[in-house]
Amino acid sequence: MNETERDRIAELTLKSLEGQISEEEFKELDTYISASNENARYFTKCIATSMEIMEHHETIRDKVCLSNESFDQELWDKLEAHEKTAPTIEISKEVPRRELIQKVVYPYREKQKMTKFQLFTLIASVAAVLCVIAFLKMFPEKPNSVEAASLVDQIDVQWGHTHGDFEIGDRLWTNEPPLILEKGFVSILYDNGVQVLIESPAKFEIERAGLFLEYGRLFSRVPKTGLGFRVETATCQFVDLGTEFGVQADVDGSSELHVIKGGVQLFAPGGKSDKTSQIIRENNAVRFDAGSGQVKTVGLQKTAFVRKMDSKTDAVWRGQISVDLADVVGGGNGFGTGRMGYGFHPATGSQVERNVSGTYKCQGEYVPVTSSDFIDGIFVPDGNKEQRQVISTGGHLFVECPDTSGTCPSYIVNHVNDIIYNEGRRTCKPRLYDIVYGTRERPCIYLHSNAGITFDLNAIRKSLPGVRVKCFKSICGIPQDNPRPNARSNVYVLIDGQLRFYREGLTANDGGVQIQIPINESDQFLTLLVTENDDLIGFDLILFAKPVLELEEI
Amino acid sequence: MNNPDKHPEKYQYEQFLRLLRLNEKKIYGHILSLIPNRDIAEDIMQDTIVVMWRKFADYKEQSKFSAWGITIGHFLVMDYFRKEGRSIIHFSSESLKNISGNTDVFDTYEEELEALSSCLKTLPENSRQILKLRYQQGVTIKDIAGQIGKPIHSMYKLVAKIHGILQQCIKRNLSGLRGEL
Repeated sequence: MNETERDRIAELTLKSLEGQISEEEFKELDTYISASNENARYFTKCIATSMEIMEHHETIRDKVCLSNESFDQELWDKLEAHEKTAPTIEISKEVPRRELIQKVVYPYREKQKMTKFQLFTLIASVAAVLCVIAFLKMFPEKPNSVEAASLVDQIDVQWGHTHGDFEIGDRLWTNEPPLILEKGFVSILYDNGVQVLIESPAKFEIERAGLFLEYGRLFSRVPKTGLGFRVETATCQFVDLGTEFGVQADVDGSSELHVIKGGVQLFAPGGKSDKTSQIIRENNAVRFDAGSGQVKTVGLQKTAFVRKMDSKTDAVWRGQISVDLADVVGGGNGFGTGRMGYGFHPATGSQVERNVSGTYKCQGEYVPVTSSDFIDGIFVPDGNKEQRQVISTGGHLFVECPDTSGTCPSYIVNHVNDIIYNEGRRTCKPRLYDIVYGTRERPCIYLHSNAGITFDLNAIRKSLPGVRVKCFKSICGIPQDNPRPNARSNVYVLIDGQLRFYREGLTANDGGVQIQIPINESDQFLTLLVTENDDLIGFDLILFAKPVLELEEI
Repeated sequence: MNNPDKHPEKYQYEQFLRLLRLNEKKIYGHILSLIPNRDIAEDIMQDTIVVMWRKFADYKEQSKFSAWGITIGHFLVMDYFRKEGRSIIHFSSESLKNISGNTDVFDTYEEELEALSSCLKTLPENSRQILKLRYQQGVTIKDIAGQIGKPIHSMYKLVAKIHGILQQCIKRNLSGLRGEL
């Protein structure tokens, strides 16, 4: 093999790798390789070198701006000179080349006059063709298109104007124009069992064993039957190895992969190098930045993707593991949408913006709350012989409720930093074991005796498709800096009127008391309740620190 | 470290990843040699990994992992040829046979990759720029030719020439190193 042959093999190999080789050139390359093992080895070497250069380019980071002025004219001139003086390539099994496009000269045809029969035939043929065209327009064929998946659920959906609306159960085809989800959420189930949830705004195409995501966010759950499922973005490919993972594709070509379970093979631009073809394992996330061309490890966002949805309740679940009841008291959904310092008037049930001390009488009346989906009602507990304390709209009673003064001097709120003791002469932050509560990071519900609040567990469940409420957890106690150190309160936690936790005469010296109550599927209402002890009512402050409903995926 | 008795599936997964990482280049290199088109070869490589993972539970001879992967990859390439039929042009059986006898070329891949770093430094700045444009920024060779106003076929020759220069340099460096040892 002489130098010219080597150069030609290298050139043809490069063209082939780039997908730019013509049929004739490929045959030429084949001729070289089949001719000798030496040629085949050189070809394989070219492949290896090309792979190495592809892999190495990851380290070449500088932006390049090539211009005519900066180009090495000398090198170019040498190349041109080389071409002019290079010997003719001789191949043992030469295949004659032909032009790709050849001019065809047709013989002259004499014009003939049409007969009536020919004219009729022509008109009939044209009519038939028009019928066929009309039929095809009415029932368009789907060339190379196959049914691959079904749309199994959707919430509040608005599609791009180029599509009609989809109904639940509609089949989805490959090789169709991209689907543009302008609003809402959709759940797609592939025929091999792969489930994909897509959140707007998104633009995507269904593929036989995967999906092309031009932009948007999706979460994919792949059973064993769907192993190898592939999500492709403008720049990356993610191949499933038995997983649950989320992909975010940005319009600039950047992509993020968050692996919740299992492993995903990532292919980013740059070929098959370690840096650009790697397996991302469970609880890891990476981002491919289109600007820099780099793949970087980023923090896993476990709650960034919609993982479950249910159009019956218009609910989505993003992987949260607990519902923050302090956030619910702040008017939120339990996942951080509530406001700090918000709460409820214990006697009227109306929403309040900040805590205001006073004397609120209600004397046992249960007040349903309408401003929150998850709070059933509020009350100032007062049990006596004549009446039993109602603690839910379901009519559940707190039979053991003690006889109280029927008054409560404070709102039920989720933030107590502004509490002023001794008419402003002293302020302090509510602490348990030296930890300040009532912040976003360390939430709490503040209940002064006598007050009670009931949460609607069924409403919370409806907002969390495919998730089970496992238990209620909190730490309750009187703040350690309470101006009246001997203040005593009684603390109760009830499920559907059944007492599940009780602590009588809790004082600041008791510190924080752990509460953990299992919750069954049939449980409907959770009630937190504080009453005065046999002393004064003043400063009977109880914190329910980190009050959460722990969740479990079904 | 995982206890294989306590977490057999996780242990198996770790084993697979370790072996794949060690042998991935060789398997991919063989596939790319059989079907020298990056897009198609990458698709087949992905399918190969999936098949290997599915069958890994049955795989016992860990010392021949690369040969096992190459066999699966080879089979999938042949399957691809069969499915695509005449719609694609591929190498003759003689060429495929010759290529398959040279898989050892990829045995020194990691060493060559290391040697490539110093070889790139010896290239003229403009050659390095062309490689950067093509392989870092993803500009096609056709577009690079357009940017500098040169014929496409000449640009292919130039890039192939740069590849050849690097290949020679790598060979020299490695043989020098072996000589020193």
